Amino acid sequence: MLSPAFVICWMGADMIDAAKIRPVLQIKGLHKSFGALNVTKDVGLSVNAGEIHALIGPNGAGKTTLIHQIAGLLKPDSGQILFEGQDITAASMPQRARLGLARTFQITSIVPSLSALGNVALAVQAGVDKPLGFWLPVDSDDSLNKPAQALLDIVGLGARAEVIAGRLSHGEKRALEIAMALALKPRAILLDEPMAGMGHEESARLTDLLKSLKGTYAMLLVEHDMEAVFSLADCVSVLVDGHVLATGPADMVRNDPQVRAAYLGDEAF
Amino acid sequence: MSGPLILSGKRSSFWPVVVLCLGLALVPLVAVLTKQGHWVSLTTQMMILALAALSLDLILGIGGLLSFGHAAFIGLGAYTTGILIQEGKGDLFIALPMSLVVSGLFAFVTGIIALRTRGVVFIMITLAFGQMAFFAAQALYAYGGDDGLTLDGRSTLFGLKLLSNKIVFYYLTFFCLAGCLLLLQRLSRARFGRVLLGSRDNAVRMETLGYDVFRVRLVAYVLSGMMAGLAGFLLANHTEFVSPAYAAWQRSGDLIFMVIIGGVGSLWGAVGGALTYLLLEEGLSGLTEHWKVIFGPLIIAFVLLTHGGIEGVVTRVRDLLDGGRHD
Ligand SMILES: Nc1ncnc2c1ncn2[C@@H]1O[C@H](COP(=O)(O)OP(=O)(O)O)[C@@H](O)[C@H]1O
Ligand SMILES: [Mg+2]
Repeated sequence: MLSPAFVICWMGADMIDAAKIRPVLQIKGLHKSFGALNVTKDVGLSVNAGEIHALIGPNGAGKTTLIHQIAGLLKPDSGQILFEGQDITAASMPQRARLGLARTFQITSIVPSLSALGNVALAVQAGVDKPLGFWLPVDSDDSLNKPAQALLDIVGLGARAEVIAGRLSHGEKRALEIAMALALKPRAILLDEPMAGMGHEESARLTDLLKSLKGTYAMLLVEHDMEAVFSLADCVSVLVDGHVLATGPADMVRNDPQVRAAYLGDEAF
Repeated sequence: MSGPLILSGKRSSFWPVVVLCLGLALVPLVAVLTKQGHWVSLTTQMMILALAALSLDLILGIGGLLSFGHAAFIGLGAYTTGILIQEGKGDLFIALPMSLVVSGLFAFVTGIIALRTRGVVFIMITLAFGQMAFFAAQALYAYGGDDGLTLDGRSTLFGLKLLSNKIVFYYLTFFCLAGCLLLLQRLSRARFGRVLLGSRDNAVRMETLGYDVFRVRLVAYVLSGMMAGLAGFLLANHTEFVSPAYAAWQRSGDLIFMVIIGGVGSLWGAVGGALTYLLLEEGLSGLTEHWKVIFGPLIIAFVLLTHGGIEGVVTRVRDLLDGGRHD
């Protein structure tokens, strides 16, 4: 019953330090405001190797803003972000990506004029020896295309490789983003509502995919689909109005009266 | 999303490039045979400006960066060459590398500042840097100031006056243009080009993949500036004259128009667009002295009607000829 996730879920930053546990991703005392609006208030959480930590909360709670700060798109006002023990609070976005921190976007973010394969190949390219060669044609570069095709197969887009990414369906674009994140061979992945706008079948398939990736990558998953959250997450944090209302194993969070009152409508169960 | 879709590899530019290069290679022969010798010099001038438009298309078309000060690089290359010729150091192997170094340095320094901005601010900053170069040229009193400077002659080649021959100079220009076109064509389809294109479409995405978008753009900007500097070297030699007007913002505007006429992002289109623009200008200015009244609306109508300039038209004609063979 006392799985490591169960234990660490409850630990504060000092306890984690004292126990000499090193989460892949650890956030301490993060603050961020836009003018008078405090969007991130003293947020702390940690994600362990191979585990999924779900972040839930109502719209406007500050989930995306938090993901942006972890990925480096926004700078926090104060606080600390540790990645594999290294302080990356001041690191740039590309630096964080190269360290092995990948992400997907709530609003689909791809290169629309390249094919699906081209998009993933571009992500593979970021990790190879000479990522900015001037001369050899990239279209026929098997050292990029082969791994890219393999990743498209994994996310179920194998047959859509040659389609221009801008013309893929919404669900296919979401899957493409995940393939691009995996192409970075990351240690951790930040997923911002990967199932948003997906049909039931599509999100069930994506849930299965994430389940199969669990164990290999540490994942911070922002998601509204409670079925997916409770079947995937080792640990759940509830973000309301910029601060973490509760953190714990899925079942406990689900039954926390404070959480139910603040966020989870009873119909969610 | 900006610019047309570049479906890399889907639409070969092989034939347009071959037609353009063959056509230009044959101009001197035809001109001599038809006793229209002045076409050699006229086409040389057009190819030089086409080279500048081509260099602009690297950052504008593929990079998505609307630089409004591109003529400054032409001016820098031209003045470097002109001054060296006046100082008796005009040999090709001094003047050419120096022109490239000066324009490349200017691109590096101004790029470090301009490329931190986006959109309208980027346009205004590049315009401001361009005007700086323009006023600097005006202030060169020792080298003609406002009036410009007539040179003693062209660059020599190990002391030989080879470039004074108009056919030799024509083919020197031709090989510079064709070489740069091929180089950029390779580059735009290589890893570097894909990252530059990706940064145009979605810079944030490229950064989350780990690419340093600023550095990639700076490399493209410097390369583009040096290519325009090469055009400046050729222009000073061709006209045997340098003038602040080479760096004026109107010239930068002309270059943007040439790229748009050709089809933004199509490299051979930029060359075709420049030739079309200059031929039209030449033809109309021969007809009437109020040619600008016709020229402006004509260009605008062309751009609006073709959706994607010359490249767009050629693509659609080819699609018609292919007749749905793919489906
Ligand atoms: N760039 C910004 N400037 C000002 N306010 C912002 C900005 N980005 C987000 N916000 C505000 O911050 C709050 C949290 O937004 P967000 O992080 O997107 O929430 P969530 O992802 O949980 O729905 C919202 O009230 C939103 O309007
Ligand atoms: Mg959000």
